[in-house]
Order: sequence, then C-alpha cells, then structure tokens
Amino acid sequence: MTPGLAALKHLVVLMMENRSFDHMLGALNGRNAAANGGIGIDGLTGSETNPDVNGNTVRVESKAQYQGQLDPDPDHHFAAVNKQIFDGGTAPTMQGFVKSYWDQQHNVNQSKKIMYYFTPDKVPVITNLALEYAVFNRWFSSIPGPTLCNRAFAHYGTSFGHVSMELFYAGKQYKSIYERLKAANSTARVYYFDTASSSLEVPNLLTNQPEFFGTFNDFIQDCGNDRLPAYSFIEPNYTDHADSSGATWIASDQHPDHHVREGERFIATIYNAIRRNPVLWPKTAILLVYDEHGGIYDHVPPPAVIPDGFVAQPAATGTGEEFHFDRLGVRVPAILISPWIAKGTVVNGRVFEHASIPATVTDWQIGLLTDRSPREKNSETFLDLLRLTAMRTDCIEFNLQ
Amino acid sequence: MAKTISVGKTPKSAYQPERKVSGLLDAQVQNVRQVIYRKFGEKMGGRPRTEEAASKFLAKATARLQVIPPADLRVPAAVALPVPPAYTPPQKPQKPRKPRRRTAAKKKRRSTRAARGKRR
Repeated sequence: MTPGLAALKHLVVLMMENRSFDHMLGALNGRNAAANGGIGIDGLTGSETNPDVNGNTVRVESKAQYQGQLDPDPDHHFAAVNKQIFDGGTAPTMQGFVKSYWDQQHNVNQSKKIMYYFTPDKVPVITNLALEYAVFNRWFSSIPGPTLCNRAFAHYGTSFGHVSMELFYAGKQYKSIYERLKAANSTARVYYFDTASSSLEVPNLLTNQPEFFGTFNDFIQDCGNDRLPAYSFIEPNYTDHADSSGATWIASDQHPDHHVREGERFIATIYNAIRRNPVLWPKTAILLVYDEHGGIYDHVPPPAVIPDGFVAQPAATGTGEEFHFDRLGVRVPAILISPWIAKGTVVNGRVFEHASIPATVTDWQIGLLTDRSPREKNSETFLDLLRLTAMRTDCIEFNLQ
Repeated sequence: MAKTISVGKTPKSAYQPERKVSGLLDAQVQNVRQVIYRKFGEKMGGRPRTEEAASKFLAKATARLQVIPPADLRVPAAVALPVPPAYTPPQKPQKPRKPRRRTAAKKKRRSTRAARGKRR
C-alpha cells in the first residue's frame, strides 16, 4: 500500500452538471505529455468538425461563454444523444451534435454553438486542477442519456434499467453506496446545497435520514472541524434562489444556462476548504466529475462495456430499439485531486465511468462485496493514483475575489 | 511554494430567478412531489414555472421529508430562544414529620428485650 493510500481517510466526490470533456478541457490538448510517457491530455486539435443540417462543415471554436449561449438547454435525452453519437448510422462517429441541436430551434447559427469550447483563462479552476493533479482521458458518463440515470450509477453502480429522469426507489437488489458503508460501520453523507436546491438523490430521503444528508454549510463546518465522513458526495446549487434570510444564491451546477464561473467558484470553495485545513488535506482525496455531457460536443466515441443485466425498452429509449446498457455515454471531465498524486498526471489507457465511484469506495472501505451490478464489478477503480512516496508541498490554492 | 490562482467574481446579472425551469428541475420537482404523496399521502399542488418558484416548492418539500431540519432551516444561534436550564424533577414539599411517641406497651417490650439480652 502506498503512503498516500494508507493516509487516506476521506474521499469527497463533487458531481457537476452537463458539460463535456472537450467543452471544458479540450483546449489543454497535448498538455502534460512529457510527464506521461508522451501522451498528454486528449483534447481538441482544432480540426474537429461536425456537419450542419445543410451539409456545411462546422469546426470547433474556442468561443464558449459563461452564460447565454446554450439557451435552449441542448437536448441530452437518450434519443438525442444517440443522434449525437451515431448521426443516424451504426458507427459512433460523433458527427451528429450540430444536427441534434438544430432539431430544437431549426436555427443553423445557434446549432453551431454546440461545438464551442472554453479557453483555459476563462475556466482557471478546472484548468489548474487538471494540470496540477490527475485528469482522466477516458471518463465517460454511464449512460448516453440525462442526469438522474447517470447519477444513479454514482450512487448504486447501476440505474436499474432506467435511461431517463423518472423516479426509482431504493430497496432494489443492489444497495446504494451509503447503505453499504453504513452496514460496514463506515460513514457516508450526501451534502446538498440547501433545501431550496434540495437533493437529486430523493430515494435516499425516504430511508436512513437524516444521517445520510447534510447541507453545504454542514460540509464547510465538517471540513473545519475535521468531521468529514469517510465518503462525501456533494451536490451543487441547482437553482438561482433567495434563502429565508433574503440572501440570493446563484446556481453553481454549471448546467446550461447557469453561469459557469459560479460553478468554478463552487469547485474552488470546496478545494480550499480541504486544502487550507492542514489536518484534512493530507488524508483527503477529491474527485471532480460531471454527470453527463449535456448535449455538448466531444470528439471521443464512447466505448462498449459489459452489459448491466437490465434492458431499457424502446418506449423508454425513444429510438425504437432496446438498450442493454452495453455501451457508455459521452466523455466528461474528471479530475482526481490529492497531495499524493504526481503533478500533471494524465490517466491513459483505462476506461472509467460513474460506476467507478461506488466500485472504488467499496474496494477501499468494505473490500470484497459480491452483491453489486455487473457494470460496477467490472469498473476501474482509481485510488491507485495516490502513488507518490512523499506528500507534495507545492499544491495550488485559489483566491476567490 | 504554493501557487495562488485568482478566481473572478460572478456578475450580478448571472442571477436570474425568473429563468424558466430546466428539464432537470422539472423532473426533480415531480419526483419530490411523488415521494411526498407516497410517503405521507399528501398532494403538493402547482407546477413551478420559474427557478424561484421551483426553489420555494423544493424548500417546502425537502423540509417535509426531513425528520430533523437541515442546518439552513434551523433557528440561527443569534436569535435562538434562551435554552431552558436542565430538567430537574419538582421537589415535593415535605411534610414536617411528627416525632413518634413511644407507647407505654412499646417501652415495656423494649425493656423486656434488653433484659433478655442481658440474660443471654
């Protein structure tokens, strides 16, 4: 066991909303290659294209804006994502993004914006975290579909056959990671922003509450008091709202059309809360990951995976075909942060998805557990990346203006 | 030496509570509504159209689902009601005990026992 893994007491997962890898990190293409055997970050070369509905070529451009650009919210339900990946064919060419966005407004100029990506100076938080710690070149959303079924993979290692946004209840054959940890006398908590933003993990509100739940204020206090549970899952603020004291809160989830910088500030706040506590920092790892791509362009075709044992019916997929959970969704940004990770690590040659989260936590806290979904059991885990023999002392900090 | 990276402020114009609810928020509202109906048999009416309205709905619904209110709904310490002193059971007023009078028979019995003891 490495010293970093031996020291590890807390894993904090922050799951943001609806941005693709290329959209957030594509501009870092090739960076950190020297430190990783010549293979750097797999971003955009600038030559990637999609055809528009008139057959004209639309090239990727570094014109992404914080807000006001992806309105309406790009479609990312199963059928639309199928079109984005396959463009009506059978091979995953990633050539259908512009056409899919055109479907919503029949506006050619608007449809081109789905190819826009951020320059690093516009998103300094995620950029610096990617360059300083471990960025995953192949972390995919679990399903080519929307939020709730993808988040289910992070909590349960499966979506129990769902590919959409409908509610499903706990108490199915596979326990959530929170229930597993409780049964193993470990600790876990979902920190949602506040009651007005609430939690997307509604089924767990029905059982074992309130021990599995806290607010973002609780999280900050738990960081300060060194009282984090072994596993924390943080949900950002999903809405622009005022609280009971009249204070106003800007949504920090980065879901289009929410302001991307507020999400950057949210990520930095969590990082700083851990980084600035000298007791907590050496024994905590943070995983920053996005639930799905939100309909925004990425150039890497999602790979096939072992089937999940469930089948989504044609009525649910909207494609006229069944889905056997045998391939992944579009690639998303994912960064593992710890002072025990070598600076500029790029994780190559391994495929991760959201089922990697409960798989990693289970391996780390529980050990052998057979009662898990086939997808989770076959998922890569990531704590081996804490492989330095001495803790880094050069880790960045963020100054929130 | 640790590098410090500056992160700019979010402009106030980013705050748009009148924004129409996204598919995600709409689904969240519907799902929470369903949970409350199944758990308590209560129907929460209305379909929020804006983020602000959805937030109000979710705040109410989440509070309903929580056994213990989360931190942001607890009474802030500054305006908290004074904490009552620790509970102590009320003392029963004690009646003054009347001194027992020894009856002549008791006195006689006692003196007899003492005499027997001496004899042994």
